[in-house]
Amino acid sequence: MSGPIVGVYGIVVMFFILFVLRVPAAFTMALVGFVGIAQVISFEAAFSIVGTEMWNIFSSYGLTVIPLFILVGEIVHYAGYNISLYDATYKWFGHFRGGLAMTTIMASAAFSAISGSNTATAATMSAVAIPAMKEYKYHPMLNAGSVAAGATLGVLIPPSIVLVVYGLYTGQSIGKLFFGNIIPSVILTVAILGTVVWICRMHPDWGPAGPRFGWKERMKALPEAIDILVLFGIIMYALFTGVVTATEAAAVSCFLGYAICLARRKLTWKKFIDSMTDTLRISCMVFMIVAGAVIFARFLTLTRLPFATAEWIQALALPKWMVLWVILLCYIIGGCIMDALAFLLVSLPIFYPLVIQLGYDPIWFGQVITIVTTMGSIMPPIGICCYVVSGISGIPLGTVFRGSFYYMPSYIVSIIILMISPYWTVLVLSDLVK
Amino acid sequence: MIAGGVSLLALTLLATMNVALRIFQVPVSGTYEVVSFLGAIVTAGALGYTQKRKDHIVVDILSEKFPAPVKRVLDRVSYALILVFFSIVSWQTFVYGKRLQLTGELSETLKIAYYPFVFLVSLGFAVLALTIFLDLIETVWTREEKK
Repeated sequence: MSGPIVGVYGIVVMFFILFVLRVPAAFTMALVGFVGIAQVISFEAAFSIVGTEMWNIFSSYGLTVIPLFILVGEIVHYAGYNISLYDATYKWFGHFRGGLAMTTIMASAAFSAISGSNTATAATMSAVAIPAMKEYKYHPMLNAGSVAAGATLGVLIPPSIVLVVYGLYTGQSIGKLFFGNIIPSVILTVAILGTVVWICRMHPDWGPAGPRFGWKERMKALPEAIDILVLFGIIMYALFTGVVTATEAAAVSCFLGYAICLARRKLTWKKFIDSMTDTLRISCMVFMIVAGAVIFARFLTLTRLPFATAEWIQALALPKWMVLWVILLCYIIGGCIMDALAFLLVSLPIFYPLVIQLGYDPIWFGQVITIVTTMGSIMPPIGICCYVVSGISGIPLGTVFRGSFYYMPSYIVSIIILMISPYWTVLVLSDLVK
Repeated sequence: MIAGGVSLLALTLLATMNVALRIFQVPVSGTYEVVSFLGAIVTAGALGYTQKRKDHIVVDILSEKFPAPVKRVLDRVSYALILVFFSIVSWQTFVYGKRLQLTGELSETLKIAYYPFVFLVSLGFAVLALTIFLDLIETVWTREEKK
């Protein structure tokens, strides 16, 4: 048995193991990939591929950027910057109707600028924002929904783990990907904010306005928010000039992060250890997903399934944009049933060559699929952000999912805007990077 | 775990130093390699711990509806599966490291023998396999208790 059909069987077996046996996604991909390679070539080949591939992934210089970016986020999280960010935005925008929900989203966006993962953002913001909104009698659906939707910005706004992995996988510059990401991030953030305004107009009692603060208090809340801005600015500037690699930029920001926290006396020994262990756990998880996906992708490539699929789609002779929507639909469905990063990595060998052949820009495509996959993280059944929000806040999962459902159109609108003008939304900034 | 933490710190410092030195025009060769090797230790060191904390993402939309006895059997099957798999991974990474040691393979810029790092990654997977083995025993144990 050989050829593309083995690849199809492999995918079926993978879903079986994933759903029925409850083996983690990362392990399933590696396992099925391994057995698949053994089937297509031989067991000896599979053995040696697994051994060398694991080492190659673990010791990949490019991937060292992941633990470091996670560490920056954790430092900032444990130092309590999330609270000060929330406080600062609240003093500025809290007096609008639905102001706390807007505050949540803007604070999430600000926090995302230093953290690369949506679960970290979801966890942080759930702890800070949900009690605040409860106190002001916000409707639980608006409350939980805005936290979950805001958290998805964590993946999108640089530094973004998904973009890093995409960049390494496709050989695109991470600096370019991060810069190309700025405008799409703004578009999505504004779209989500717009949704809050719209919800509050439909249901005025869901989000009562908070008290208004004087300018003096507003100014006083700013300095700590500026720390974060400076840190973000340094990372982006370093990547922009190209004098440092992404890993080095991340390392410098970790170092500065610790330095700032020490200077502001925000860091205790316990927080330091916690930030470390959390980073190790999360990076280990991400690495295993990458490793599993790489082994699985090796297997798929051996079966020639990616090429067969690409040829098949081309033979359909659909218009370019329609093919793109079919691909995006696959990502939406994939994002619903599987971890976004894992699905992205498994599907890239199939879709990436196709998209490039169609003449789309790789940097632009990276932004589009990041938005699509992050949308999956608030969609049932396994929208990871909703699970985190529900787990921390105690609001029923169903309510969280229904609340976040309001935000779906903002993702679609953002993607459409990106499709209308790839140049003005992505390339205008990414082309500036050397 | 501790090795991972220390490596992570070393990684941060080393890369920061490298940038600082580059600003003052003093190039240090080979940090690239050392950073990669340390990166390997960071992740490999955390393998067992992450498994113990059950941090890996599991899809249980379907399986949560199974009755408890079926679930327990399935859990045991899945633990056994990944136990075998990661034992193989650990063993094969070790074989790879051994090969590097025997052929005397050196890293590109620094010319150091890097097989010990490969062995450490292999050790990380061995710890992971051991953790899974303990989980497997635990699922069998809880059943005995219920009887």
